[in-house]
Amino acid sequence: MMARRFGKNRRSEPVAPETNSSRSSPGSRPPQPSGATTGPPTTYPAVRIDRVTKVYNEETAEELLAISDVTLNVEQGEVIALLGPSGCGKSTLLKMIGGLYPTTEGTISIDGVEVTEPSELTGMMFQKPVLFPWLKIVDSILLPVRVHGEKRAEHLERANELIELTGLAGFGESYPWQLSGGMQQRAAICRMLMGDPSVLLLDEPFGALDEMTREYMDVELRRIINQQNRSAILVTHNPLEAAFVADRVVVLSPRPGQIAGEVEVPIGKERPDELFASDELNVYIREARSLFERGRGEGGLPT
Amino acid sequence: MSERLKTALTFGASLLVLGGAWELYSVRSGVNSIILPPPSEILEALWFVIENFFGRLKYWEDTWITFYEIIFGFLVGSGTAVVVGSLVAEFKSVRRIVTPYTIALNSTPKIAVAPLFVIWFGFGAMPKILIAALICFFPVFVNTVTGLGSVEEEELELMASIRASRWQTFFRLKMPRSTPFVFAALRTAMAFAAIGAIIGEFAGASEGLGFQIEFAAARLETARLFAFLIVLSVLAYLLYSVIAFAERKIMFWAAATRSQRLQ
Repeated sequence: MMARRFGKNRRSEPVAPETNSSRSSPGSRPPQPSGATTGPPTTYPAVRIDRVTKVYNEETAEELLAISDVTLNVEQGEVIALLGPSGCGKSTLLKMIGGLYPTTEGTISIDGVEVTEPSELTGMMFQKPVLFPWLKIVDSILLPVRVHGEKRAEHLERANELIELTGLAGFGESYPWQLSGGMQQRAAICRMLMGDPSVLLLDEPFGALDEMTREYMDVELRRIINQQNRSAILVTHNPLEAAFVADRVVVLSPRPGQIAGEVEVPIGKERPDELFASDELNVYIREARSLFERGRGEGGLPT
Repeated sequence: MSERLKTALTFGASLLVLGGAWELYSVRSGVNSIILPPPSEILEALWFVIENFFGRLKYWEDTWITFYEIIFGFLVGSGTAVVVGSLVAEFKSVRRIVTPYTIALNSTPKIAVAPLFVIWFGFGAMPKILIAALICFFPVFVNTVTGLGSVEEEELELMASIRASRWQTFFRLKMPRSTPFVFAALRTAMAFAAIGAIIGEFAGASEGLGFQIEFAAARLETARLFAFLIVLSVLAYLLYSVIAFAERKIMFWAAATRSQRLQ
């Protein structure tokens, strides 16, 4: 029941075999579809960004090149960070992946399906928790299924499991204004997972939190991504956060956003909070930061 | 002592002082009680009205008529305003058609159309209800449009990202978001509806509190006029309280988020 895909705007299925045949909730899911029984294993990356360019206000005086010719793949189960200065278009790129904005040029696919509008394959989180003050936490979490006419009772169990998973137990019946900023973002994580997406799109989700809470939430975020076995793209302007959470940090240049370089963070999927102070992580933070600052110093790469 | 009780006591005390001063002035200055009846006479007249509420003169009938003129005027006016406001907020084409009319409507002093409505609809409750509705319409309409537009970009992006339909976005996000605006207007509208009903009765009626006020004025029974004013005010206050109560129940979240934002 839980694995059923809901929604009216259901898009055409990829030619690839079903990857969600038996998704137990909220538990693990194979990072790669087993494929053995349903056909050849899929070769689709989780996200494929192919020569994407974004121009705002095209052919007007305010024309603005936000993203220029970005090509990037995110593998199944991979967590990447998009690191860049503010205004570099990283959020724009993320929202194009989420189907909120169209691309000007190039294509984006999720699990082999081209993105033309928001899809059930992606779940988004924003800098603000965006919880409606008139809804209890549990009802905010249920919103992604409720808007598709699904019964509340049918999904309550899953919502409560997610509440448990994110450490919000006991707060389901609270209202968002009774919760701290960090707890509100936990609820936003639940809501994002409620739609059962395969790729998580995180737009500076902890940018508005204080430093201590942010670090704690970074630990929690990676734990949850691992436990749920999803792919994720984290947009951030913080090299420490990028290196801590991601398997790979993709650095964007200032506007127009282009890929300035990449830093692999091959330290495994477990990211306990001791890692923040470790020399191991420090190496990658330094690398990411130098790429980040080099781009910033030059005021953008030549276009 | 609770804050409420303090307010009530202070109000009572100030009322006594003001009433006393008024009484003293009326008696001492020898002003004609047709011009300014002393409070004692007004209380006497009020007692007369209360005695006759279910008694010989059946003033409850006047109160009842004015009550339902106000209520129906309020419901028709603000109901139409919420519907039209929603259509204007959601559909550009509707906005283009409706906007000039709403501007024209707002520019017209609605009271001036009361005689026209009497010509069209006669001396019954209908013209009063329509005038009340007409006066109610504008504040609710404007606040509905403003309220529906008060959603934040990120909230719309969230609804888009979970593939909510336009319909769902309207009912689950925009409508609740707009309720603080709409309720603020409904409070105004309730007071406006009372004005509309009374104006309607002034323009031509043979019953209702407005009629009784006019009747008392015509016979220079100023004290009774005051008594009916008091009855009318109590009625309007009760209606206002219903709105305020509904607002507190439905918008429990608004006060909470407001205080949070101030922190």
